[in-house]
Amino acid sequence: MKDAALALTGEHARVAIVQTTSEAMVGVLGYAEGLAMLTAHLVTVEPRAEVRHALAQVIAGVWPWRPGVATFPEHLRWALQFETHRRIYAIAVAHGAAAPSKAVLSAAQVGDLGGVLAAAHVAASTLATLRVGDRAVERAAIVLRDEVHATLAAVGGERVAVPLDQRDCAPLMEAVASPDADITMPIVLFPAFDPDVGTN
Amino acid sequence: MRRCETAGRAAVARAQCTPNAVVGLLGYAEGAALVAAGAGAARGSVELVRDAMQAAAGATAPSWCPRVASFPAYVRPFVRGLVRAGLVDVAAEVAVGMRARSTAQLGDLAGVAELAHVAGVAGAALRRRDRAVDAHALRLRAELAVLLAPLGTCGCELESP
Repeated sequence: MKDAALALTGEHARVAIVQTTSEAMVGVLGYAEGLAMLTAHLVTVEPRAEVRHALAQVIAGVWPWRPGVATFPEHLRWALQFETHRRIYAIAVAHGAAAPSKAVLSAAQVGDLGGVLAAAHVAASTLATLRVGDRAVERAAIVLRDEVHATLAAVGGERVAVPLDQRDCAPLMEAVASPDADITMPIVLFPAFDPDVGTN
Repeated sequence: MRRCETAGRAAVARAQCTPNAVVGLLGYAEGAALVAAGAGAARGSVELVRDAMQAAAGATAPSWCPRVASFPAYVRPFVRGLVRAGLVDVAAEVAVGMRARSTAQLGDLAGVAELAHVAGVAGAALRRRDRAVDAHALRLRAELAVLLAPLGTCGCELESP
C-alpha cells in the first residue's frame, strides 16, 4: 500500500545516494540473485529487475526507509525479501493454499514454503558476500548503482548529486545516525559508466 | 598395510540413519535442489537423497568407515556432488548453446554451487520441526534395507601401528 507520508524525501534520497556504492550494490545484487535462484522453481525473476522494483517500492513508501535504522542498501535487501515473500505467498494462494506458509508447490520441496523462504534468506545473504570479486556481478552493480543514483536524484524534483570521493561524504555518512540532520553539502555527479570502455 | 575389518556396516549405518538424521539429509537436499532447479537442473529432493545413499553405499574410494564418520555425514557430500554434477551439466549445455542460462543467475557457477550448499545447510537446520519432512523421512527409512545392502565389511586402509 502506497503512503505519500512514508515516501522517500529528497533529503533522505541524498543520504541514500551516498550510501549506494558499487560495493554495496554487489551485495544487493548478490542477495537478489540468491532469492531469485531459490524461488525460480516457482517464478522466474531477473535480479536487476527485482532491485529496480524494490527501489520503486521504497521510494513510494511501500517499504519506508529511515536512515537511522539501516543503510539504504541494507534496506533495499529487506524490501527485496518482503517483495519476494509477498509474491511467493500470492502464488501459494493462487494455487489454493489456505495457509500459504505451509504450502508445498514443487517436487524439489519437501517441507513448507515458510522454510523455503527462510532458507532462501540465509543462502542469499551468503551469496551477497560470495559475489564480491565476481566480475559479471561487479559490472552489473556499477551500472545499477548509476541507475539507482539517477532515480534517487529525481526524488523531490531537485538536482541531487553524487560525491566523487567518499572522503567528501563524511558529514553525510555521519548524518545517517541522525535522520533529522540538515544535509546540504554541495556534491558532484559521477561520470556515466560505459560497460564497453570498462572504466568509471 | 592393515585393513579395517568392521563388519555389518549396513546395520551400523541403518542405526545411524535416525529420523532426525534423515530429516537433516532431506533438508540439505531440498535447499540444494531448489538452487539447482533455479539453475535449470531440477531434481526431486527425496530422489536426490536416495541416489546419494546408493552412491555412498556402493562407493569404494574411499568407502564409508564407521570409525571415521556417521553414515548420514558421509552421505551429505554425495548429495552435494550430485547437485554440483547437475549444475555442471547445465553449464555445459549453456556453453554449447543447447539452452539459455537461467534468468535468475547473474554470477558464475562456483557461486551458484556454494549457494546450493549454504541453502542446504540452512534447510537441514530449518527442517528439524517440519512434520511434512518427517513423513518423507519415514518413507525413506523404510527403504534403508535395500539402499544400504551393498555395505558389507569395511576394508579401508588403516594407519600402520
